[in-house]
Amino acid sequence: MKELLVVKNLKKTFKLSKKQQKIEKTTSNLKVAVNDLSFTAYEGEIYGLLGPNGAGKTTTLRILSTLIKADEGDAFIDGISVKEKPNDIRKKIGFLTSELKLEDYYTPNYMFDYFASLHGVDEKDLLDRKNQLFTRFGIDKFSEVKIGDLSTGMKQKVSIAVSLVHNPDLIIFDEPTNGLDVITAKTVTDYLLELKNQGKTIIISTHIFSLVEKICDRVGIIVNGHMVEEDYVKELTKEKDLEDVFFDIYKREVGE
Amino acid sequence: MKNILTIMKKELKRFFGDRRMLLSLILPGLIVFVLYTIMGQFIGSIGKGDANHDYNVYIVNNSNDKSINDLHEVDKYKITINEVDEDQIDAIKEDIKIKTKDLLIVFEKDFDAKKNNGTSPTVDLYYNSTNDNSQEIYTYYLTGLSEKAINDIKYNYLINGGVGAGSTNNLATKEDVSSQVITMIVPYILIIFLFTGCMGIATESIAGEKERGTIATLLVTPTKRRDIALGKVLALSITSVFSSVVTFIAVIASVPNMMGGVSESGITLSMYGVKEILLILLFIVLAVLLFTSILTVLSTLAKSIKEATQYAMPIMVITMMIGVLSMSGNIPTNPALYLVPVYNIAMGLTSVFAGKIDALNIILATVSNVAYIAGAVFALTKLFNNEKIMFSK
Ligand SMILES: Nc1ncnc2c1ncn2[C@@H]1O[C@H](COP(=O)(O)OP(=O)(O)OP(=O)(O)O)[C@@H](O)[C@H]1O
Ligand SMILES: [Mg+2]
Repeated sequence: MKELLVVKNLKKTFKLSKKQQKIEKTTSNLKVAVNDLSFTAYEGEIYGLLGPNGAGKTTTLRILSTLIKADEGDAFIDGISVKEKPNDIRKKIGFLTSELKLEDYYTPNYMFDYFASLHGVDEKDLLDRKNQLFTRFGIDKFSEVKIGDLSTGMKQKVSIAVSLVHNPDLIIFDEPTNGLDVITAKTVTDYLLELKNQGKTIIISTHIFSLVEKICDRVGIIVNGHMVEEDYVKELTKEKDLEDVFFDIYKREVGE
Repeated sequence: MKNILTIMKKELKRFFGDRRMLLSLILPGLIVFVLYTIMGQFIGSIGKGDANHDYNVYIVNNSNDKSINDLHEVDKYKITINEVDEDQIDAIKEDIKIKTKDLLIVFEKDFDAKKNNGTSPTVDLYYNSTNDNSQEIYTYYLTGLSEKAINDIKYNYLINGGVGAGSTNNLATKEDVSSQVITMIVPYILIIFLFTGCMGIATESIAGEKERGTIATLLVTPTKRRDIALGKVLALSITSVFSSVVTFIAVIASVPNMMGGVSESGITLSMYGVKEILLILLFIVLAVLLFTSILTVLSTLAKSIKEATQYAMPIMVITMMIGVLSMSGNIPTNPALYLVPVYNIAMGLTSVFAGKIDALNIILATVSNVAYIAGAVFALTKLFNNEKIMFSK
């Protein structure tokens, strides 16, 4: 199996403002969000990062998608260093999160063309890609409606289509079903499985056990910025369900 | 009743508890004070002659009255009196018009005799209000002669043909008067409008995208940060230039209406040609690019549109103060001052409107502004690469 994503000893510390210190209930002005985190994702699998709020999932995915830089360690996608060659990485990945939004003023059609152009997708590929994605998500019905006028579910579908315009090998998806109703959530998870069947590699983060059980091949459990368990979902859940497994591990790590 | 108090207390806590809010309550007062102080100083200097100026005063049919002649001897001014004949009047008036001579005093023939027998002779003072030296010495003589006429029955004469007729004694050309008025107000209005125009759209730009979470979508594409910065600044600038040119045309078109009352002959724009218009457009474009790039940097530093507006406030105050400096119509001769951002734009505009274009100063202003704009765009690129700025929690 080809190692598409190799994450090596990532560490990320944030400086906290006075206000953040209050929120985090700490007197230290430093917060280690990701601590010596390593994992590997193989080509064609769905890898889940599972962890409670504040575990460092979003931070990790932001490092992988070149939005922020790790203090220590590095990650390699198809052998390319995230640290050294962020622009090459950006061509290879599609990053999605509910925090990444599209501007309300424009239509899905316009946004798709805009991002295709920024990704350097050529005219012919663009039309094929658009056809395929817009049909798949039913966007063609509202492709000329301003994004601001769309529902949350429709927006999410457009975001997915737009972030995949360049047909990336690695898809990074922070909380894929966050804020979606069950029907839209199912459309999204079905599509992730479809992408996997096309040979794409997918990294998702979530705190929802059932999502991991349903779609992930392997799972890494993060607690306090550190990877505490990594295995095939099938192996982990041989005897207990994932929730129980998680709490056993959590107790072991945090001692509660 | 109790509820009114409860609600009122909560609202007041918001207004007076927040330091920024409090500042925004006090700021307008401070701005008014500073602006009017500066403005007062400069308005006071309008119509003041140069220190050590040698005032050349021409007199026709000079009076032999000692008390009148005493007016020529005063510590405050160095006055050179030239007695001339009546046939030279027109030539001297022309010189006053073109500002090479300061004042012409024409006493009626047999002035002293008529004065003494009570037939009220006339004395006319010809000056040019757009020449500060002429204006100053005119005011001096007018005051001196008037005081005598008021205080002493012996000095019974009509100055400038009597009350109200004096405006024809002002030999300033319509063009000079117009240029003086326009120079005083247009650069100021223009700078204020340009800044507020840019502020409206540039503060919103990046801060708004951060607030709405749309900037990260752009940052995950393989687009160079410099290209993002330039693309944004250029689009904002084009929008601002468009709106500014409309503003400029509106300001210029409204000047004759607004200032019509200032001079009876009205305001003309005929002294401005293609060269002036092009230079003014150059300064408008420079101002818009400078304001836009600086405001975009501030917008990028801010977390929200509100914060961006707060950051822009001090810059707006400084810009307004610099704008006020241009109201005096005086332009500095020291070329180094044309390197000072915003000030050089204000002075550049002033010099063009006043018809005192200096190639070196305009080049200095242009080159330095291009450098500042490039610096701001460079800073913007750096900020786009700074995750603390782009993804602060
Ligand atoms: N820019 C930042 N500045 C300061 N602290 C930060 C910043 N980003 C994240 N953190 C802190 O780092 C820790 C990890 O945050 P992160 O968002 O990665 O967690 P998460 O696993 O995605 O949690 P959630 O399930 O709530 O999304 C948290 O304590 C968070 O407060
Ligand atoms: Mg998160």
